[in-house]
Amino acid sequence: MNASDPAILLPQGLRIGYRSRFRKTTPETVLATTETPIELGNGRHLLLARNGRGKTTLLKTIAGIIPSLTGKISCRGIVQFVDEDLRFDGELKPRQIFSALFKNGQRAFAMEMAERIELDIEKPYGKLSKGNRQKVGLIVAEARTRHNGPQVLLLDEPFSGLDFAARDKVDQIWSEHAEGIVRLVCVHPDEPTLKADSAIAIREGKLEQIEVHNGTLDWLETRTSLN
Amino acid sequence: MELYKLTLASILSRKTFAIFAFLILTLPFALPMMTPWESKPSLLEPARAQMAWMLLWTAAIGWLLFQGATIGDRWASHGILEYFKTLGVSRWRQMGQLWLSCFTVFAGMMVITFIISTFTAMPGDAVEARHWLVTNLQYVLLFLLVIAPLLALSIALGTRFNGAAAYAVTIGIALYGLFGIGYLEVFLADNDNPVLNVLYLVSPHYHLSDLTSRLVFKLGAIEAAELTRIAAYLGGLALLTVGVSYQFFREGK
Repeated sequence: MNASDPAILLPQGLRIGYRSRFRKTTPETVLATTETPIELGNGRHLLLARNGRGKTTLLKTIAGIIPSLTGKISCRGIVQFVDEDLRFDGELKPRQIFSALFKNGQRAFAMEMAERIELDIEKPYGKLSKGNRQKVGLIVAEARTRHNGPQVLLLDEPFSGLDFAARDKVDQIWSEHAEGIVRLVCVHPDEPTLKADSAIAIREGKLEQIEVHNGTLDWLETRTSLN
Repeated sequence: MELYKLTLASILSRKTFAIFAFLILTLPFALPMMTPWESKPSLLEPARAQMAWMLLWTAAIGWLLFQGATIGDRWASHGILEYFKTLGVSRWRQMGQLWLSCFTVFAGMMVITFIISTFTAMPGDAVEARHWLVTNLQYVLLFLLVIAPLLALSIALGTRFNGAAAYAVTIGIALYGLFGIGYLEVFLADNDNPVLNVLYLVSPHYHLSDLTSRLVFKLGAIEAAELTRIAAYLGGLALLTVGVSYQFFREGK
């Protein structure tokens, strides 16, 4: 791996979870630990786990929103965390959101991506369906990666609410713009349409890397192993 | 400045500012005309200035602080501030950009007030006119020293608690500092209560920034030494308020 390539490095002994900020005597809630170091390079990586096992906590810890309990995560690149619950004001139209957040090339890319994934940029955000709101978050994340330098994109369930056609188009856009970007995508194990270069799973409190052959996971095996 | 632009777009798209801007633009002219001003026409112009500044205070307390509280609440609840945090935008910069976006719109209302109060109510006498202009400029300065930090506080409290609580606390502090202290002062004049004396000392004396009566009664500009003392006091209070606001400000809920 080149030193200028984007990367996420999860060290051995990393523990993620929560501790009380006020009551030091309260025991920590550990959600997951790493027994071997995990390195995620350029490409698309899936984060798999059942509900409440620490997927979002891991993404937030990597993004620096919450601290890890032990161990220091390193990221090479500009980090973006797009929460599943990221919401804009209901009165704003997607066009206004993109105009406020981006200029020039990034804005043009946002408008083009909106057209490709069939998002009505003139409809107020509050009147968009759940899937279309998800598209706004996806576009914001993707448009920001359109400048020089390595990028680390952390996406929390970006496909919930999206129909198959939109997923396919996003998949295509990701394939077209794969260089210089680490995409760590949190998904439910019942979303079988995504390709991946690698995957990490949280199983029985352990963060483990799963091998991916030919860019696709064995979904049935993965689902069974997560139970 | 993306958070600034996003917040500004949000404020403008809600359009509530237009109501206050319209009132500030029209009521200073309309309301004094509804009084029996014909009996003393010379009172019409000071009344116009009084109305302009009263409306600005109303807009500050009724609109600006509410905007700050609700925007802080919404952006923190909706994940926007956490998103900008991951992009490396610090708490100071986030708070500053939210503050600036609210203030950008409010600045327009301030300009309207200043123009109405200064140029449509200015006395004819040259000396009085100079005093009038200087008093209005002093008023702007002192007004800013009170309202600007309160806006930061309403934003910060909104990010930590919720919009309603943040607004209630900030409006409470503002009204107490502007009017409540006056009642306390009256009470203390007849009663020597050590606890209330301490309360009086540590209270935010925002009423010092209200120069409306000075304009209405044409008392002239505040002397430089006195203005410096008031500005230093309100400036110190502003720094304290901004520091407290920073401690309350958080990116996520």
